[in-house]
Amino acid sequence: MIDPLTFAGMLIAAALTLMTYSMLLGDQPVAQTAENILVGATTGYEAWLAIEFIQRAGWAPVATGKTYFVISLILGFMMFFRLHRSTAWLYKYPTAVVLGAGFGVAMRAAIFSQFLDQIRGTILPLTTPDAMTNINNLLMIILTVTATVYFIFSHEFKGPLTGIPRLGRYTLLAAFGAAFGSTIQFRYELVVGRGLFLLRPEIVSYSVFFLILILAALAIGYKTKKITWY
Amino acid sequence: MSENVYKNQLPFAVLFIVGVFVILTYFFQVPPEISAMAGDLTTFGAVIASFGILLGTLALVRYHVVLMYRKKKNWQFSILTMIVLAATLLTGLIGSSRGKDFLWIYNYLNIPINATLYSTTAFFITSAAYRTFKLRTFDSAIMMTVAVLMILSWMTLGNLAFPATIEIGDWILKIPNSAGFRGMTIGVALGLLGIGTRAILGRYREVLTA
Amino acid sequence: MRMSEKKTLMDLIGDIDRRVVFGFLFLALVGPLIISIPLPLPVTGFVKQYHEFLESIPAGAVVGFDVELTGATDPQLGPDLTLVFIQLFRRDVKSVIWCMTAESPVFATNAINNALKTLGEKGATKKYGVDWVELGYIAGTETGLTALMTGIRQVISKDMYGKALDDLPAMKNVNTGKDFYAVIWHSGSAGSVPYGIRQINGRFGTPMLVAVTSNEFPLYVTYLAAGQIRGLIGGARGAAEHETLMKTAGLATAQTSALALGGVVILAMLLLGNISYLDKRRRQRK
Repeated sequence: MIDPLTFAGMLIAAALTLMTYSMLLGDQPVAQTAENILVGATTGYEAWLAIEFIQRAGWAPVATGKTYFVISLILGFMMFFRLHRSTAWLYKYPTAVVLGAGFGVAMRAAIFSQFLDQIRGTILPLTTPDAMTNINNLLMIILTVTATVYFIFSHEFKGPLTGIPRLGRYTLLAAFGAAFGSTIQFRYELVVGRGLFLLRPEIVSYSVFFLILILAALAIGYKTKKITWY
Repeated sequence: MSENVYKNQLPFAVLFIVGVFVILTYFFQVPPEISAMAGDLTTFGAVIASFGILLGTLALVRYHVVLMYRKKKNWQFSILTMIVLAATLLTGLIGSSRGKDFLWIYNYLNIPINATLYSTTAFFITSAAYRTFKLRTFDSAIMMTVAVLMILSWMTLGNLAFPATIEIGDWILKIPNSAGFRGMTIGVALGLLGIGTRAILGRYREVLTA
Repeated sequence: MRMSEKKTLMDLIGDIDRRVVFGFLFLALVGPLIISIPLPLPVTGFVKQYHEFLESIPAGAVVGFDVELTGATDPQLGPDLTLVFIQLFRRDVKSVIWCMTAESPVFATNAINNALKTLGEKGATKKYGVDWVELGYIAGTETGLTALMTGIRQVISKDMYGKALDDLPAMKNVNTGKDFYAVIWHSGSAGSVPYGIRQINGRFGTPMLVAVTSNEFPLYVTYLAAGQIRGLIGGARGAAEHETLMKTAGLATAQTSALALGGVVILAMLLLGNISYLDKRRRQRK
């Protein structure tokens, strides 16, 4: 037995889902209502969680004796000066700290995980007992090198060397083709997920009712030209 | 101190000091106090990033308040946005982020619309593929062949009709796909190192444009 | 009537109204959810590798667990998240869970509760703080993760429920990325895997297991091939294969028939679009 508040929530969620799907028929007030509710709800949610994190990671250390953490709070408040043109330059200081720390942690680790480890992963054995493994390893080495060479734009490859970046381009196209196929799968999984929700036994009849209601409202609005339809 | 110094040059000095400090403490043996300071700097970064979210919220509120005040196009929707925003913040304030009301708004307003909006891309991508993904050149033929093989490999009907698609799909992912994205990963890493170095050395002024 | 105005069948095939395409796709994806069409599901090597790594984690070990599911990606990866918790609880592996995205703590808690309910008696013996800890949302993406892995107690002293970390038995001897036996990264579609690998496996050598949505799966196979991650699964299909290995038929398996019909629609659309295009090109050359 679902409690009334949860049930009401599920009905509202079903209605909002179908209102959002109505955007497939064009941009109109029904879809815009759902979008604007989303903007408000998401912003409020993220803002509140940010406040809680500031309290946990910024203020709590100050309260337990690490008084220098007040610097993080002061720098954080300086971000708000961005809102007025005359004081916007103060925003550069906290941004500089964030960027400095961000670039620092990313760069120092990228050298290993995205560069050295990837190169190490490309150095594969070519004399294993299995012939298929040897062929695959050779292909992997050749295709990785040519795909990397493709990104060298500062040097022009002439004559027979043009084959190297060209093979790299074909490798990248194969990778994009695989990514396209996977992206299609992902997007379809999203629709199936929403379908599963709308077809839940508790709300399926209401889902059908809301669908008819929304389509009727849009049809009347379209015929009578009472709603702006893009 | 001239305006240019504290408005432009000092922030880049801060960027340089923080960036170099964080990098050097990783590669060199330093006393534990210095290492802890580097750790605290990264925590500062996380706290400041949270303030950035609040800055975005204030900017959004300002935008909608101006829309409502000047009664610009679709200003009525701004009222709806502000009501929902205020209600969400109020429920968080009263009951915390684990509170029933706060989670109710998140579960029954945020999630359904967010998930549905994300899922509409399935329709647009299908329609776009139908209209634009054509066998015009050898390049597009390669891409389409691999895409079709990948689609056949993940659909169970494809596996039933052509059992070899599972092995082919696995091979495509492990060899050409992996090689292509590895090349991109290395390229991206080199790009990151280049841009990071330029930013830390103050040669990339755009990162701190107010 | 001029010849150029007359539309052939091929022209019509290449110019189907997009709302008709939307309608066909909607029916293909939602229809099988109403009329169930069970189809056999082969298990790929990727999922076997993922499953076997989970089965190899010794009892009593502590794993780190990043959960980044959102409302959109929960139907795809939520079932797998629950399955992973079932495997961990069944094997008496402890987990410390955090979330790099603000929306995710709710989904992590839901998956844990579902896992405990599924385990029945065994689930009832599991205690918060002893068998699992939820740290909640950690802001700052890579910078926040770096700080957390450098020293959890430097970033937060309390868990998501306000309990002091030092009072939780599962957190004893756990403070950095090095203290975890492995880290499981349920990324959803957040694009966070590269920085997770940089700051965990890259810095501490801690093994990682990754679950992502299907669109990100091809991007991260390269990390699997390089040995930086020990297992990788993608999307609802990967989750469904994991359900098959665990001998359960859950939400992910229910989606595979719908996805299969969806695949038929996209292949048909590509075929029709190209038939029309090639015919038009042939006529232009004439």
